[in-house]
Amino acid sequence: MASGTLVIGEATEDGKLNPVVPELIGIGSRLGGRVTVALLGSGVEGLAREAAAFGASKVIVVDDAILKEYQGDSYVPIAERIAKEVDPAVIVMGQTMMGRDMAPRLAQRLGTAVAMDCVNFEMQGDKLVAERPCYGGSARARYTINGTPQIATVRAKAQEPAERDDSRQAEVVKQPAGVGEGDVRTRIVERRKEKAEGVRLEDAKVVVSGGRGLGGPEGFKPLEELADVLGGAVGASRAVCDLGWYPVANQVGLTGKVVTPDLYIAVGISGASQHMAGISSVKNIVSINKDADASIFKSSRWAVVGDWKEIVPAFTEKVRQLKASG
Amino acid sequence: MTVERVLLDGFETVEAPTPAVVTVSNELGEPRYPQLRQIMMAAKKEVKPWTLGEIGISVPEKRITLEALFVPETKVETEIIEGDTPREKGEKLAVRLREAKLI
Ligand SMILES: Cc1cc2nc3c(=O)[nH]c(=O)nc-3n(C[C@H](O)[C@H](O)[C@H](O)COP(=O)(O)OP(=O)(O)OC[C@H]3O[C@@H](n4cnc5c(N)ncnc54)[C@H](O)[C@@H]3O)c2cc1C
Repeated sequence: MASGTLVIGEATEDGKLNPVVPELIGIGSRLGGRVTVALLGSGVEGLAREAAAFGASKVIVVDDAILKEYQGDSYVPIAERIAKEVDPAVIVMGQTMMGRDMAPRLAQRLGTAVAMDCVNFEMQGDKLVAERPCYGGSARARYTINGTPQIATVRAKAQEPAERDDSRQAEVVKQPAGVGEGDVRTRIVERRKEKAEGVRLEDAKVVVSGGRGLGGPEGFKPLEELADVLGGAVGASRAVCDLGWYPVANQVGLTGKVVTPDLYIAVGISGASQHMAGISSVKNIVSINKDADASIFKSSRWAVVGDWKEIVPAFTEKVRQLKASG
Repeated sequence: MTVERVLLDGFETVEAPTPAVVTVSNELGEPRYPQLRQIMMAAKKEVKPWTLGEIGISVPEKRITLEALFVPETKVETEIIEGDTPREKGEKLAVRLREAKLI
């Protein structure tokens, strides 16, 4: 009978264990039963020990140059093969570029269903109850899956990562890819990075975001300066991205990025539900807005009513001072 | 077919044979808004609904069940930073965040 959890792990582009993997292992451990981690990629063999340290009972490694980049045609058949062999009750993976593409395809191949972008899990008997935000983050839905295995993708930072303990051991099994160039129908011709300076929005502990209230692209200069002082990253509302004031890659929200900093500072942003969807799990929101009735204040821990042009420079200066004084 | 795909930190160009299924993002571009004449013409076009049976599909077994739909309780107690001037508010905000150990 199907039992335990299969985690489809992944590496970051620079070859480290993706931080979502310990979170996935944590979910598997809490659901109960064995946790098997599948690691697919190129140069990922060394990460098996880390997966073990986070509590995997078994790690299946498929390390092959063909898996250097995620391609559905190479990854999905391997995941399918491993899933059939492991026969888990639950399969989890990150809501990452890989997870988004792989999960539905894998579910189709295994004749089951997937709940995407989940933030909470619970076992009721042998049924997985997966919870996900919906309606732009303003509501939550709980699903059960009538099929085996029950598949879910998991939003990063929604769940506590498993504790690391380097004395833990796991059975590590290496498997060949079993797919060749001829099996991969898509071809990545080119990859272009947007020069991301400083901290990545998704990893930032502090995010300073600007909206239409900035009045123009030049309004982002003081925000960049503030983010710099705070060691954070700069985000933007869709309105300003659509206006071309700031790169779309920095858009926060429903159709932008979901960010989880410790502190989010919204400047000249009204607080539309689609924007809030990107910060629904942020506890400390500061908003600076000249409209005392701006809806963003309802979700803010701290509210400053006034013109950002005067408030932000004074704030930045004071932060600098406080930081200097230790 | 060649497509450009949005990544977390950039773009990639991908080639795929057709037929292919492509999902699109909001960076795709401007929607094609119909002109008034086209809207008028659309009203006259026949809309023919098909049943699943007519296109040879049987209703698939339901594989996912919505068990609950609810609004999570999020109570935020908002502190309004007061001050006589905007400058004072900005400075006070910094002090508050320092007290909360956030900066
Ligand atoms: C399908 C869909 C998806 C969407 N996805 C997203 C998304 O991912 N992210 C997103 O952000 N939006 C998204 N939106 C758009 C969203 O609905 C809002 O239109 C957008 O978030 C508004 O951006 P804003 O707050 O910058 O602008 P506005 O709503 O125009 O707000 C500007 C604010 O600035 C304040 N202000 C003006 N001047 C000053 C000043 N001098 N000092 C201080 N405050 C000032 C104003 O009081 C106002 O509150 C989406 C919309 C749809 C329909």
